[in-house]
Formats: sequence, structure tokens, C-alpha cells
Amino acid sequence: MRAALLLLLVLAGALPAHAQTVVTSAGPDKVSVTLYRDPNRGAQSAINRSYPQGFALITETRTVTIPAGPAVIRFEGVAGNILPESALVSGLPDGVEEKNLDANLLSPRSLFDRALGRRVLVRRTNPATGKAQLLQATLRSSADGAAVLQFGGVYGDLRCSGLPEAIVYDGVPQGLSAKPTLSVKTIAKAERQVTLTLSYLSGGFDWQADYVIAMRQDGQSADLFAWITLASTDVTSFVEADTQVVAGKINRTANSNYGPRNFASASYLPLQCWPLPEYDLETVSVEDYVQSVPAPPPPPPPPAPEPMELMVSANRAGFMADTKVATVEALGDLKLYRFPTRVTVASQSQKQVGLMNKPGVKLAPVYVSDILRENAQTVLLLRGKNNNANGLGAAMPAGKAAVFTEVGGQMLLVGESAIDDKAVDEIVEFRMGRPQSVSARTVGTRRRPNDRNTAYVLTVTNDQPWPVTYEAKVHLYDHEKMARSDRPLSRKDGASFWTTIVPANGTATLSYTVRDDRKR
Amino acid sequence: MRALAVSVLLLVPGAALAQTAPQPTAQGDVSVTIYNNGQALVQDTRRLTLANGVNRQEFPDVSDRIRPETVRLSIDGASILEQNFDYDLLSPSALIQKAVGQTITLVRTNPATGAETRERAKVLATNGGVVLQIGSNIEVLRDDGLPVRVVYDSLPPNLRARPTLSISLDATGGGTRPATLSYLTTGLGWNADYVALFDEAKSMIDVQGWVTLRNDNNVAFTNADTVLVAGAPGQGGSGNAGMAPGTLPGTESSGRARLGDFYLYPVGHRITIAPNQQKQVSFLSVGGVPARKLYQYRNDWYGSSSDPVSAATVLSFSSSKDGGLGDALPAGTVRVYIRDAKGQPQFIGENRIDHTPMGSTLAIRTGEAFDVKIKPAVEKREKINSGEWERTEKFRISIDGGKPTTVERADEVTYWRTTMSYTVTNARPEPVTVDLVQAGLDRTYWHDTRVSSESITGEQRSLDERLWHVTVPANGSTVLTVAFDTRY
Repeated sequence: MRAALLLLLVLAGALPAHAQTVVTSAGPDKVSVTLYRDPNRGAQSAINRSYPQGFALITETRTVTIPAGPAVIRFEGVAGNILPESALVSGLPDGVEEKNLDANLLSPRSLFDRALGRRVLVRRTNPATGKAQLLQATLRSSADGAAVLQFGGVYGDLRCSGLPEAIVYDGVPQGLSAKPTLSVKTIAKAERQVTLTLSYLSGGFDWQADYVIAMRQDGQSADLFAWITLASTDVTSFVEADTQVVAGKINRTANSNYGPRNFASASYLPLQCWPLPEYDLETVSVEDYVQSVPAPPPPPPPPAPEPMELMVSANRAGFMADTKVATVEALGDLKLYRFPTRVTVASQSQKQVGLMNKPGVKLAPVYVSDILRENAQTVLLLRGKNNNANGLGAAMPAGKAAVFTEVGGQMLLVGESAIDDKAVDEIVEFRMGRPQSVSARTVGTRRRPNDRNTAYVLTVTNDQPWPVTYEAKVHLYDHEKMARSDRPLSRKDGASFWTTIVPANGTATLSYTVRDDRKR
Repeated sequence: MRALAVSVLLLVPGAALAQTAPQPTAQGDVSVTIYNNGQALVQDTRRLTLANGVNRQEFPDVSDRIRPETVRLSIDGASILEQNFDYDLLSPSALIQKAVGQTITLVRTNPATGAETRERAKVLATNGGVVLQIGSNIEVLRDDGLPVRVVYDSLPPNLRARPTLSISLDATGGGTRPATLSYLTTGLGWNADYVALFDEAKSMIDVQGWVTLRNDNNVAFTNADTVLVAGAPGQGGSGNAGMAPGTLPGTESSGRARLGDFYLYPVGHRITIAPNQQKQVSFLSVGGVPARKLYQYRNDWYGSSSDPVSAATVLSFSSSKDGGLGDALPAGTVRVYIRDAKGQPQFIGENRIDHTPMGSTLAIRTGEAFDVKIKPAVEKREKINSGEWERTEKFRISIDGGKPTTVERADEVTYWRTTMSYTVTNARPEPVTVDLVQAGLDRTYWHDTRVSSESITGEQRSLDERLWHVTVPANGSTVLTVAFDTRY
């Protein structure tokens, strides 16, 4: 009975000021979710599953019956992190008069504030007998100062006495809602049922590609599979949604607030009292004792959503053969991947769907050194050209890569890497880190202390029983010049470039001379 | 107890009916002028009933973020004596402070029996605890932690529930007359939000413009005549975000009303701005405006990049009357959408624009192109002699007091020649043109940079920047090589 009355009150309270009809759309008939990667997150860094910094475009189809005359349509069940200024409503026959996001939330503070000067009931419970007593009172202070009440002809406060006291309000004031609510105002010529499209941007989402690379026995090719990993921290689940992800970097502005907004702080109601006496008693040791007791361990973090196990899937036998993958299309200068089936983008969850499946990709290991004077830094790269001839030829979105190799019939992880967005025909390089089997060293010598020429010898060693491809990029300072070398050098990335094959269990050397033009 | 509950239930529905009516407001005919810097001018015409002589008039329902020093009241037949803004708020601690020297009632509750006993007490002080005189004894309020309720006989006059504006008036003759209260308040602001739907095949955009206004006050402005000013008085002009580089701001006048230097955007009808509300009202809707997509890239220094860098995707259109949006655009965010293969609009990026006069060319950078990339590289760096000589030293020498002779020294001018290559790749199925800019040309000490050779003829945009239009075939690449000669 009481609950029903309260419901009535809530419904009645939702009525806006003017005599206009309120139509509530409880949820979408159909929803489409397009996720965008956080443009400021590097390829190597993982999705922040607590506070994802990407976002999503939600497009909802809703059916509502609008009455003739002025009406307000309230949209419930929208994403919690909605960016209200991005909301678009199409399909209203007579257009949108105005759009509103009302964040006047029902909270202890707003109840208190709206009751200023009104009659409320104060319930006092006798601590000895447990008997409750209801007293008529009038609120005389606003929330900023805290409670001063008038009881008949006298005045008092709330809860300063140390007795249990509570204010009982007689209804929910008009215009306070449980959640920030988006609404539009329209003036229809006639009553009709319409299908609306509501679209808006919302924060709290993110996605990335996850590549699984299984090297083949020849060491020159691999089976490449990629997942789309998406994460949502929104309070709303989007059930059976047409889902897309957009690859490429999108510009965002600083004044768009994609993060969750702190409406709660505006709802805080501090109750203050007159000063209570405070004493610095001789029982300080008690406090010390309390402090010396080790603090209890922090509660364990809430269990993170279970990520899908990648390694299990990287099984050679039937490598991802029957996983449906997303289809790609160009979206202006971006790439849009459409999920093969409808999925539920659940609240607070992570989900994975196949992105691409490319068996037999030519992906060759190359050892590359960046050399500056006597300092050589070597990395192992898995390199392939992103074209059809190499078994790839697809736009590859930024993401992480896990590389596996078969050892004794088992697929074992040999390296982890990441790539940025790679277009078709680009060179794709998975950087595997510093190798142990191939190393490069440079030693420089001068004939005289102030000789303008420095002779360097680069020695590359390989302890593997097979030959490896090796590349060196020799970087020079602006005032330096490559005077001569014992092998022909070309240019690459603004550096002198040498490539060779280091024989099995062997070494390769390059001698070159650098001239310093500052010296005469 | 049961009877009590029933009485509560009976109370509730009656009160509920009373509350469904719109909240009464003391505001009269309100007009609100909102500026861009979160500030607004409120003009509120109320009817005041005054008695002949001195009146003290309170003005409830003014904005809670009012700037009291800006309040002005215009009224006929009355002169203003003084204007007060009282913000000594009613609270339990303020009450007891004002009760110092006065007598209050204490109600003690026996925790064992619940029995209440009353006694009178005089408040002596409230410094870090309330010191009371009860009969001949002095004690501290709630020193024992037991429940004690403080009851006051009256409220002190100057404590208020909310900050309150009051004005004392000397009226000549009684009666009701209109009075206009005007004041500045913070917590009300606005900006524009644009939605641009780009049709790449037709090279056209449809643009909707919305004004977004926010009220962070706890006060509603009911049925307010609202005007938005595109500007922030006292904060200088705006920047030129969104303006296409190398273009001048437009010189056309929009048909909209102006306030001094600023344009006004009226909302069209009276609106109610609710507390803590964000409200959007449409002000612009234009379809079929020509627009083109550009690719831009800017290298800030003569540097190499081992990984290719994506070109920026830029949407360019005009705000001109002919072939443009045909309006002056207030500052805000432009969000660009494009239809996917199924015809559904998808978001492709956003950017900010400043106040833009009509007739301007805009260029909105929406994001980076997945398929169009540039790889800059320093190919060569060499010292060259220009064949020019410059006088570096000049002396007048006199030997043993003889006739002075002038000796000059000239050095050949040497340059450092940096040969840059820019490899532009295009994985799109159609040719593209990238506007490639090399910057940093005028940042050396000598201010003497020459472009000695370039594989595509460029244009010097400024002392610091040179621009090349690099055309790249479909699924192909183009290499631009440029030699820069600098003195350092």
C-alpha cells in the first residue's frame, strides 16, 4: 500500500511545470553500439578495465506514442555516462523543441532543501523503551547550514541531542529523479505512434585488437588470428546489440566530458551541530595502541571480469578455423568492423569476438640494430608486408600481440609485442624485444686523439644453428658524415643502412669510418 | 503506534496533491542573458507593494550564485536607502552562538527509563564546547555524553535559511508598483554544439547547431525570456580554432542582432531553466552545404620517423552566405558523422571552434587517416659553401701614429644543407592529395633559410612554414624530396 502510494508520488512528481503530457520510453526496441578506442592510449598499454577512457556511439530505436500538443518524452535506460550534448533524436514528425538533461536527483540533500519552510514529521525514538514519537515540525534552515527545526513555538536542532531522530517527508518534491534523465520536448499536431532514433556518445567503453601469432616450423611464416577485445563499465547492458568497433585515431576535445560525472557530491547533506567539548585525556596510550595495531588488510579488489583465455585458443590443430570474424568496411578515413552476430554488450564486462583469421602469413624474423657511435641496440622483429601475396592484406587495428612457437608438440609463448594501426601494403613489424642469440657490438678507434676520422668495426654474432637476417642502422650526428665503409651502405629512416645474413653459429662484420666536419 | 501509522498514511496523499502543482516562485517576469564565460545577467520585474515611507523588502528566489555587488533595482516613486546581502545562515552552531548570555531550555533524557526532565540554563560561552550556567552550577553541554536536547524560545533575527537579498526603500506614497531587479550571477553558461553529417560521395554536409545551456544553480528561472551572447565581456576576443590555416576570418555580417561586439542568439520562445539542468535548443539547421575532405600533415622540425605517421583528416567548409552555412557560428564543439555501409550515421571525430564570423573558411580536424601515412626522413646533411662572401671583421689600423688604414676580413658563407624526404603512402582505392607542411624554417639564430631544391613546387606560407600539395595515386606512394639550406 505504502509502496504503491510512493510510486504514485514519484509518477506525479515527474510532471514538469507546464500542463504537458509526459511520455516515458522505458527502453530501446533495437540498439546498435559502436565502440571507439581511447585515442590517447598507446598500442602497448592495456585497457583500463576500471576506468576505460574510450567511448561508444549508442544508436537506439524506440517506439513511443506521442499525444497531440506539447509533450515531454523521457528516455530511460540510456547509458550512465551519456554525453547529453551529443544526443540526437530523429523521427519526431514535428521536430525537437528542446532537449534536457535533468540532474536534480532525489537525495537526502535535495529532499531537505526542498522542504525548507514546509511541514515535516520528526520521528524520535526513545532509547530506553524503543517507542517512536512523531512530531510536527517546520524546517527553518537550508541544507547549507544544517537542520534547525521549529516545533510549535520553540526551536531545536536535529540529532545534536544524541538521541535517534529522523525527518519523515510527506512526498517526493516535483522534478527530482532517481538518475540523470534525458528528455525532449515536442509539440505534435496529432497523436500518433512514432519510431524514434536516439543516438548519443557515452564514455566508459574501450576496445583493442589482440593478435595471436603461432609461428610455423619453417620459422618464416605464421598463423595469425586476432580478437576484438571490448570492455564496458557502464551501468546499462545493451542486449542483442548490433555491434561495431571503429579503428583509427579520432580527435576528441578537452571540453567533452566522457567520464562518469560526480552527481553524488551535490547530493551530500552534512548535518552540523554546536561544538561538543573535546579533551586531550591521559588515555593517549590507547590511541597509540590503536595505531600500533597493524591496519587490517584492504578488502580484496572486486574480481575482474574473466578475460578470455588466449593461449588455449592458440592450438595448432584446427587453428581458429570455425571462429566467425568481423567484416570490415571503410568509414571515411577510419575502419569499421561489424560483428558477425548480435551480441550483448553487458554492463561491467569484457568480451571478445574474432577480428581476422589469416593462416600462413609470411612473417620473417629480422634482427635490427640501431647504432650511435659505440652504442648498438638490437631487437628481434617479426616482419611482414601487409598484402595479399604475404597472406595478409587487411587493415590491422592497433593492439597487442602474443607470439607462440611449437616446442615438443606444445604451443609455448615466446614473446609479446604490440602494433599501431597498420594500413594495407604497410610493413608490419612485431617488436619482440632484445634477443639473446644474436648480439651486435661496435668499437671505434682514432689514430690521433683529435683525428677528425673515427674508424668503427661492427661485429654481429649468432649462436643459432641457422643463418639469420640482420640489419644495422648507423645514426650520425648532424656534423658527422659517413666517410667510407667496406660494404655498400644504403639509406633508411634517415640512417646509413646495412643488411646481411649472419651465418649459422657465425659472425658478420662491417667496418666504416665517420668524419667529424667540425674538426679541421 | 498502529493509529499513528494510519494517520501518517492519511497525511501523505493530501500533501502529495499539494506538491504536484508547479513550485511557486517569487520571481516575476524574468529575462536571462547568458554569456559564454559561465555568467548571466538576470532581470526580474516583480510587483512590490510598498507602504508610504521606509520599507524593507526581501527578494527571495534570486540565483544562489548571485554577485550581490552587481544588484540594481529600478523602481518608480521610491529611493533606495540601502541594499543588504545577508549570508549568516541558520544552523545549530550559529543558534547557540547567538544565544550567548541568554537562557535556553535543556531537555535531558534518562537513557535507562526514557524519562525527560527539563531545566533552564544560561549560555555563557561557546568556545570549543558550550559552557552553561544551570542554577549556581557551571557545566559543559553534553560533557557526560548523555542525551541532551537544546530548545530555544525564538530564532535570532539576522540568521537566515538562505543568503537573502534585502533592500530598504523610501517610498513616496503607498501601493503596488513594478520594480526591476537586475544582477549578475555565475553558474549559468552556454556554448554551441554542432552535428555535421558528411556525405563523402556528394561532398556535402548537413549541419545542425544546438545551443547548450547549463544551470548549476539550485534556483529555477521560470518562463524566462532567454538571450545568449556569443562572447565573454571583459575577457578579450576569442582565438581562431577551426579556421582554415592561411585564410582570413570572414567579413560578412550575419543577420542576427548584435550587442556591442558580440552576436546575440535568442532562443525564440520563453523557456524554463530548471535547477541543475543542461538544456539544448536548436538554432541552426542547414542541409546540402558543400564540404571537402583534406589531408594535412605537419613536420615541426627536420626530423626522421622510423614509423610512418598518419595524415590528419580535415573537413573543410564555409560559413559564408553563398555555398556555406550562412551564419556566424558561436564557439563550441563540432561533431562529425558519416554514414556506414548500412546507412547508419557513425561518429568520426570532433573538434572545437571559436566564434567564427560569417564568410570564414573552416577546417575541422576530425582525426587521423588510417590509410594515408607519411614517413619523413633526413636523407643527407652536408656542409656547403655558397660561393658568397660576407664581411665579418673590419679594423682601422694606425702604425706608430701614422695614417690609419682600413683592413677588412671576409669569410665565405657556409650553409648546412639538409635533404629531407617525405614518403607519402595511400592505401585507399582513390588518389588523395596531402597538404604537407614543413615548419621550423625560421627558428634558427640566423633567420636565413633557403629551399635550394624541391621535387614538387611548394608555397611559402610564412617565414616558418612551407606547404606542398602532394598527390598520391590510388594504392600507391609519392616521395617528396626537399633540400633546406640553413646557416646552422
